Amino acid sequence: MSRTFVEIRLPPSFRPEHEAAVIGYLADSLVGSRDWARAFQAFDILDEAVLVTAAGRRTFRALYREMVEDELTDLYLRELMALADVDSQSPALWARYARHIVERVTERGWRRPEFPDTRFLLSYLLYWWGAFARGYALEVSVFRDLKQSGLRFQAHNLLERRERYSVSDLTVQGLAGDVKTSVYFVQIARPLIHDFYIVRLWARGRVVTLVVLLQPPAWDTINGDTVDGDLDALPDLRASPVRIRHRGHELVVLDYDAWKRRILRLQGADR
Amino acid sequence: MTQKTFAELNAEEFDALLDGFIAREATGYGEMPAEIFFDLLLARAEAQVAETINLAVSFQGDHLIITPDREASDVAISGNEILIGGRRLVLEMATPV
Repeated sequence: MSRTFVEIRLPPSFRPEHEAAVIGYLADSLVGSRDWARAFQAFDILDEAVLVTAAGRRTFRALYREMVEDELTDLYLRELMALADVDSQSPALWARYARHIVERVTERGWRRPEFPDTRFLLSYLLYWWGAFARGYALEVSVFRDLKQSGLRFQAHNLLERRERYSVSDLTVQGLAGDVKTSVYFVQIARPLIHDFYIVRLWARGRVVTLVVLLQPPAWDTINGDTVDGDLDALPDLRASPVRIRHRGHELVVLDYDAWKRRILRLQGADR
Repeated sequence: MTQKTFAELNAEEFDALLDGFIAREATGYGEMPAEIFFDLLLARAEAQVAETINLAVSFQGDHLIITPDREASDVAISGNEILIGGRRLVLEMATPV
């Protein structure tokens, strides 16, 4: 292991509560919106944290791009695409690459117990690796499922770098959609510009649930019926699509399988 | 949440934290509860839209030109480049025109 000079410079806006949130994320001890909000904020701020070595200064964001995105993403995606069952096998694949990232950071001498702030770098890299890798796995899983269901759609090709970063992940019935894991979705939250979103989250006491979010104009093109509800209605959304108004936004939320059935009916009528 | 800071964790404790995180994520998906997800998603989406600037895109010969409908002190546009938030966005055609 290298023992070269190393220093971490955290942005001034990074406060003790952010550190607690980072550790809470790793320890799976985040509870409630406030904890999660701090964790998202913490990882946002850490984008601009800097690793200083004898070789120079690099932000955490640049290090992620160099060490993970540029070096590992293509390899991971090829292995991911080769999995027979993405849902059950991809978490272990993610973990193998995560351990590889830990080894790489250790080999470079950037995991140093005598400099506890180096732990922020590992936390940051693993967080974003989780966000991206699991997001890609969900995309592959959804694309395979839609294809198997006989639903007509156009998806971007994850193995082509330019397509991988396309604005939308897929198009169905002329509507642009995105596939996101819940954590990544919130972390990169931006104006809800897509017609629909396919997102995986925890609901109804289940570890994995797929839900589709539609912006009301897009929902109208599917000619759907809804019931008004709020966030408390989400556990029952399997029963019928729920129209939610919250923080100035209006969304329709329905079960992924119910959305597929509606699209398939629509596409059958188009034939 | 844990009360210890990174500086207060000894090497073994930090190793256990990392190993535990990877092991846990290797057997699950680490997703958020629905009600927290929607609340934070919409809060963050709302907070990040302070202003809308419409951009008109045109060509002068082979050169792509971006024209905003208003000025903003923290957004600089020149030719096919947009400087915003410390990042330079360069717009290019995906295939030759």
